[in-house]
Amino acid sequence: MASKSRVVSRSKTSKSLPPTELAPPLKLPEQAFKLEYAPALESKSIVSIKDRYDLFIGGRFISPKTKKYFATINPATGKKLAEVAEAGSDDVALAVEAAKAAGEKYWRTLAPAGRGRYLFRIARIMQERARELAVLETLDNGKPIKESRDIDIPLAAAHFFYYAGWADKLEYAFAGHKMRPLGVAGQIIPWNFPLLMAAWKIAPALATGNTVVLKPAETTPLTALLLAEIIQEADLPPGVVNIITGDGKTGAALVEHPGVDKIAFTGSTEVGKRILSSSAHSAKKLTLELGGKSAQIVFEDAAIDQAIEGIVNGIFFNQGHVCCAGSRLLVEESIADIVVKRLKKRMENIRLGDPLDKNTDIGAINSAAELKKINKYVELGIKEGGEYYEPTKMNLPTEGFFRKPCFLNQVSPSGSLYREEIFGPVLVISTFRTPEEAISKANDTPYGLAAGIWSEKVSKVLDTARSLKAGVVWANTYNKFDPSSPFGGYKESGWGREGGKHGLLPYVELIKPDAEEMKSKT
Amino acid sequence: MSKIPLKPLIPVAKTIKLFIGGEFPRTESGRSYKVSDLKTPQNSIHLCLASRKDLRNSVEVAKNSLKSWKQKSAFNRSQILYRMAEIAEGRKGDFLQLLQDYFGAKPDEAIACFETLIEAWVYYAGFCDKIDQSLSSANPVGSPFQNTTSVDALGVVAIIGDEKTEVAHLLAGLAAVIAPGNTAILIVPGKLGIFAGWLGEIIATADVPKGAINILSGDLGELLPHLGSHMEIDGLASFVQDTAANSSLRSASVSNLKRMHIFDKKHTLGMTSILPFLEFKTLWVTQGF
Repeated sequence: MASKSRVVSRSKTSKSLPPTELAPPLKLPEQAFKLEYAPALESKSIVSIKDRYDLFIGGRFISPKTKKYFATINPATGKKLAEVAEAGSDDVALAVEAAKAAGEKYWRTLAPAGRGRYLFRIARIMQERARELAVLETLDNGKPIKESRDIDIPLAAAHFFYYAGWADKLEYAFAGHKMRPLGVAGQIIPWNFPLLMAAWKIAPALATGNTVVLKPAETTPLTALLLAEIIQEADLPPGVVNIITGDGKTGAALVEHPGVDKIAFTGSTEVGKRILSSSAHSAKKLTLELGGKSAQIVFEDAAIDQAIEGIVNGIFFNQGHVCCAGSRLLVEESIADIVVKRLKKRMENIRLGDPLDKNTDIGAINSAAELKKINKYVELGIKEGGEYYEPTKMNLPTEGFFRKPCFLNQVSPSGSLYREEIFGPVLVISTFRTPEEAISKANDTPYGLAAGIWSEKVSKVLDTARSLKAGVVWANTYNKFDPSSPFGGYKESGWGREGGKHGLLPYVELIKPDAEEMKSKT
Repeated sequence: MSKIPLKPLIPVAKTIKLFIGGEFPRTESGRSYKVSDLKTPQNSIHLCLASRKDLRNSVEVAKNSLKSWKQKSAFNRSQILYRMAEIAEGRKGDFLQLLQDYFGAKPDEAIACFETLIEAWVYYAGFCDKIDQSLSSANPVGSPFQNTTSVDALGVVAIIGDEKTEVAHLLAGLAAVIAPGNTAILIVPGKLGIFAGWLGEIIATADVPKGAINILSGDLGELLPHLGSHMEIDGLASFVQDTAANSSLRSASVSNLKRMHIFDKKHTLGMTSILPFLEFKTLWVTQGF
């Protein structure tokens, strides 16, 4: 799953057969399914992890004023990887001052093309050190190496490369408008895509002339700190990017610091609302990338095999720790049985295990707390009457935090599992009879981040897409990302977009050069 | 039979009511407040003091009306906004009179205000079918997909002025909000409420779908917390310049993460006045066979 291979619909197969008489699955000798995979471990030797990491402020690594450090562990083993500094409010203040000074002294006095040069340089060093970043990401986060290697790291580098090019072309982005940077951006990112989220935040902020204080998640700080080293290597003027580690308290101090002009947050809707509350009385500009409960709609005219791959990728990619995970499967009633049957069969072949093994599809759950939360949700779902299924032949590693992928069938739209974000490898399945019902079920959520549509009929796809209240709609594919493609949600899934030219907007004030005030007096 | 002339002439005063769902109801609360005619105090009128229930009714019709207003072609919305300007021209005299009688505007000031309003309505009329073309994008993703970002309306937007808000700017903001397909609830508190009738009659005769624009006169302090906390209001457009009021509105709107935009005192014609009331939808379509 989640490989970079092309997802291509095979329209010919389904066109020639009515949906109820789908071709039977290929009959292979029983032995074909019993092939064991020998472990193919990625070497850890490429990355050297220090015992202790300090805060990256003003271009240097400095020890925290709190004198406190906390451990970050490898969720696949439960063992400590390193200690990182805990930034207190004094450290936050220092970082914000450094960012402010760097904006005035260097970043805004630099020609726009110069900003671009630095971003290109960062992108290149990231590409050169890609394998190192990938291994470190997998160690600290628990995600499979094939995902960090093929998705997270290349995309993160691509983000810097993409926004580098915007730096000296900003006046082309929104016709008739110039852009003015906001100042110091305080950025708080989650643990599910640590380096990728750092890139999503830092690259557009810098391209538009802002300076940055970034706080990575408490459980996954290491790749951001390696990025700090890369930034040093790229010789970015000191203070343009500051990276401070800590927990929610550090984040709160950053949000509340009066020197911060813009807050960009990716994380849960609950914390997003708290940030909005605490900044309601300030003039800080705010963008939020929050939770979701995204629907995958499978119509009876879908190419079933491709849809099954899409469903699996949609919910089990990154252990389901994805804000846009396709966590609600809506299947047209006429094909529900066959979809569920094939999904079960496909899930039997998922490989769960050591994240560093190149064969691994599903790695470790990021933390003990998350694992507990997910298990609690599954229990609740079973109690509420969902039909539970998990692969039967799958073994979990004996150490670390692991969780079998699973689904709950026949989940009622009023059930907790249907409505609440679980953020784990748990799919809920429900059926529909008409496209109208599918759309109304898909939209019946306070969230509005993403949706998937599976149908071979273009007009149906386009009409469904138009009616869905979701910021990203994938048709006959799922969980695809690109620096040029805006990402972000409707409703309670957030404010603003990241990626593409729309991803510039959160970091600027648009100036209309010929803005003419209406001159009237009542 | 000889006619008995009414002397002195007894004028027929107009009752100004709320405008909800294309109709002109009185507030369900039965309450009213008095607004004074500055020149002839005996002409003072009583306006409806809208209640929380009136607001909820307005939100309901505004939400239902999204289907008809948002689904209209952008060109069609464009023509309807232009029609509003046309009808307003025919009622110019009333507008000038209201400004002079209740706000003490001088004739030339009143005319300038009216011109500002018409300029804005015509401007946004012509913008409806340019928004998508200005803000959409075809995104060159590095994989075999057709990837486009297009513009969608936010939903139900409440537009809030206070007694210091200049009516032309408030109504310019209304046009910016509805141009992309949003439906609106316009809050005209205090003496701004006297425009509820004038505006309602224009909307009612300009082919604007019922419920797409609703107008409530009343007390801002009373309505603000309910505007913030209502889960079916998607956006807030504030012309209120009072920082404390805006902060409390923002705090109250946390529940469903309403998009909120605070306009400057003077409305600036342009895309920046439309942008806060849009959503962007990115569609990935698989390419290949």
